[in-house]
Amino acid sequence: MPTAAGPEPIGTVRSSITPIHARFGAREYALPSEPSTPLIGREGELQAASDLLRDDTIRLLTITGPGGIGKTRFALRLAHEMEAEFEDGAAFVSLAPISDHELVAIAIAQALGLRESKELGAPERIRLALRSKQLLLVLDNFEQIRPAAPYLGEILSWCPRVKALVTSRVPLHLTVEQEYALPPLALPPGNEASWTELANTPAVMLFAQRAHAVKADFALEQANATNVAEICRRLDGLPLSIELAAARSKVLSPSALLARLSHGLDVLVGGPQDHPTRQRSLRAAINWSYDLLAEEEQRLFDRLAVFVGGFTVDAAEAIASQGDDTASRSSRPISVFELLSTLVDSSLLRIEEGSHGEPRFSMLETVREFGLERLLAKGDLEQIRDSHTAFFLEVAVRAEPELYGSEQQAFLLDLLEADHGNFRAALAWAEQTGDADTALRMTGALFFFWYVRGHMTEGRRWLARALAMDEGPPGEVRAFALIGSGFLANWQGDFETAVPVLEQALDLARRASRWDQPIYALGLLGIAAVDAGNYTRAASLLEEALSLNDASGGKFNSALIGQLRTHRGVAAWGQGNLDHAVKIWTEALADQRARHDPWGAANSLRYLAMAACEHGDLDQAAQLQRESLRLYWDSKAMDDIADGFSIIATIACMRGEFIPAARLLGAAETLREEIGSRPAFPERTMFDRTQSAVQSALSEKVRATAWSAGRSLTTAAAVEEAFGLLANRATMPAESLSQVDLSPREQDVLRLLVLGRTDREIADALFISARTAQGHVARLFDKLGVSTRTAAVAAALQSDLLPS
Amino acid sequence: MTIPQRIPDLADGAANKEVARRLMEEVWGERRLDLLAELVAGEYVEHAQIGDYYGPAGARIGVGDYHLAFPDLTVQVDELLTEGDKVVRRFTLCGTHTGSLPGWVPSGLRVELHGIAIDRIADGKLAESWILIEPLPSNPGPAAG
Repeated sequence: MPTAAGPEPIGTVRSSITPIHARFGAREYALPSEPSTPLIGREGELQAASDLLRDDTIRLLTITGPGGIGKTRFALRLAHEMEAEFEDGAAFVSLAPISDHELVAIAIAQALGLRESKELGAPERIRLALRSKQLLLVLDNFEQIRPAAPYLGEILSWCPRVKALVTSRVPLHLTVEQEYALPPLALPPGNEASWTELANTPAVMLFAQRAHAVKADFALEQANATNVAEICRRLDGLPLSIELAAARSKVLSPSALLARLSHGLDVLVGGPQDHPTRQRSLRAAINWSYDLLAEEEQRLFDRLAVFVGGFTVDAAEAIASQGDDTASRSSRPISVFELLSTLVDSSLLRIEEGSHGEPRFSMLETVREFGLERLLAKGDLEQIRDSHTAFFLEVAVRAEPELYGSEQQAFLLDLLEADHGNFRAALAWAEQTGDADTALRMTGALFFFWYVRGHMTEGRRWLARALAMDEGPPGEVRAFALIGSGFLANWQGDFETAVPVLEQALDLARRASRWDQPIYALGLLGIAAVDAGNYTRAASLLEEALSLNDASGGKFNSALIGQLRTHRGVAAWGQGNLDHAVKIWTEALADQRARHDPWGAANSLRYLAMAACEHGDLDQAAQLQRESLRLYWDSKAMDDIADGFSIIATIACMRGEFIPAARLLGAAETLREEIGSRPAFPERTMFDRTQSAVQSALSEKVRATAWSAGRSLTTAAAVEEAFGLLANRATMPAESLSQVDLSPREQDVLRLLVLGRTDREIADALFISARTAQGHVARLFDKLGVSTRTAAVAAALQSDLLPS
Repeated sequence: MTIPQRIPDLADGAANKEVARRLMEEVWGERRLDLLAELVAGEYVEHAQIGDYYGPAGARIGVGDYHLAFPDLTVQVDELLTEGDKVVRRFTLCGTHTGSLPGWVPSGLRVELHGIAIDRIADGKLAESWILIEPLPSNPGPAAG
């Protein structure tokens, strides 16, 4: 755990929420599921594009085409088809909500579930995590961040087995790039065609499918097929246009649709000549669809374009009522929800289910651009951006006190995550308009969200920019932003930045009215002091924070208080008073158990395990550490698991089991690299000691073999091995192993075991069935008198069972 | 037992005429598009020259076209007749053609258009209409359809 280093000061967060980086096992990455409607008429294109992706010489495939051609949908289908051909599957990164190309690496890291640390920024995290992966990396909507194209080139050169599938209106112009221009849907043949021929044309099929979805009794038949075919021709076979037109089948028959559409396109295609024809025809189709909306629907639609990455009904209501003087005109006020439903029916909005079943709406980028233009033309853009920003400020500020371990916590964090694009847009607007108060309030309210969800670097950026804006008199608003800034810097181990910021925050907080601010500032400074090895100062800061909490009646977030107690114990340990530390941790543990805070309890347990190691009570240490690891594993706290491996390695080392210790240290190293964490302080001292003990106990060759075998274990396998090690004390003494007689085949199996191979991999390597391989492994265990793979490997390496 | 025979034509006919009158005077004339939800059935079908329009939302598009095309539109109901569940309405639209109407580009001319429609009324709402409105004078004719 980053505890002593400050990284993870809050307990229930991990226990009640699955961290975004909780990915491990065979398939680490997952694609979003496809829409329920099938992809129509793209069989040939899918075949062509998948052939290109299978080509070893092609590292980057860019699906290009104008807005509305269906690039995203196509890429998603393609990725689902190709996923199985990549060992590590496929990962999908939506870049639509990102407009700042500097945020690209951060967006990719977030989508891949990679966390940042002080030492490792997002690009480095991505390089380490992907360098050995065989992965299809899907990057959707690249066009607005094209300056980031060289960075994508770098990823591909660092990670030789990663392929990128990109969607973009324009190619990226990288040398490794292969462009695939997605054509429009095949159009129906000329007027001589029979209606069944027409009915089997992709464009017509798409129309029929969408029309049927909005009007259950719609059927393609001889009488309307010619009209539908003509509609598709007029719309150039562009899927989005066809979808927008077909959505009107709820109110218009195909003949009425065609008549109105033809007229609309004739009027509108005249638009800006610098747009390619197809783009103009899409704009015309959007405009046509827009013109069919009632006035209040148009007004709402325009405003909805300010949302980035979708919105909820509440958010829509907030901006709908802004400056509204016309609503009272109608005798029957129409609810925003009704208007939204109409817009969904018109295909101008998409509806999806949010993470907690609430409806969320979004616009395709092409459609959103259109809405923004209308808003700008009407001169309303600034006003609506203001209300958008005010609304999301309120959301952030209202959520903030509930984020620390309340029952609402997981729910609220998910909501904030879903609106992250809106917070970014609101913060950018506050900066642009020089609204320091909003920027400070919003960043101050969001820092804990950024922390829990691993958006540390981005959060620090916004906080630093907000703090730089405000030249006015400092107050509690500023104090909270400073606390946030120090909190995130602390987490990233950047104590040099954190400490002066937190001291400033403490100074302001002591004079401000918010009772919890001094506890924050003192607690975070205390955590930083622990990491700096300044235990006396740490003890006094933490004591003061804890007593302020007592004075408040214990109102402060109890999970954070638990963390402060744990650190108080670490400070006592550092001061040489291990008994006092044990007393503090024992009390903290009781409290954490009572509050059902498994992650907090796991922290206390690991410290108690380390104390047992210090006392030489290895059985006790193993027992405590076993429970700690189980709790961490259950809450998928990966960096804590890495530290758990180091502690277990320490126990093994003290038992004289150096090879298993070396393997676990290797596993811990890999895991830390993957998640970008580092061992906490003062555990580091203990781990360094373990490492040197292993180095001096084993020959370099043996140590290196065991270490690299440990490095190549999956996290799940390493955890299994760690539990096995804690459960099994004895390994067979080396002398008795010389009696063991292994067949050549068993020697082969043992060699592969030493390399950390699974049964399946052993079977593949030796061209035998998995079942036979399992049989060999079981017989080997039997002969060696061991019950775990680790023990078998240890036995092999400690003896001369494997002639080289 | 003698239950007084209901006389549908007289009572319903008057009520049906009232629906058609409100459609013309209030919805068309006073631009009360919000009343369509009240006057028009969910499964309403309007058979217009260029094709069918469905439901209150479809009816809104049909009326809305004329509101956009003639910002100064006035509506006069010339005659209402009733038979069974049907109402026949004859009407006159007057206005300056400054907005776009499907098939016709704005001419800026002051025009008078005569129209006639047959409405079927069910449960006090318009269930189906057949409508003909004379074309605009001196125009290129419908662009398509």
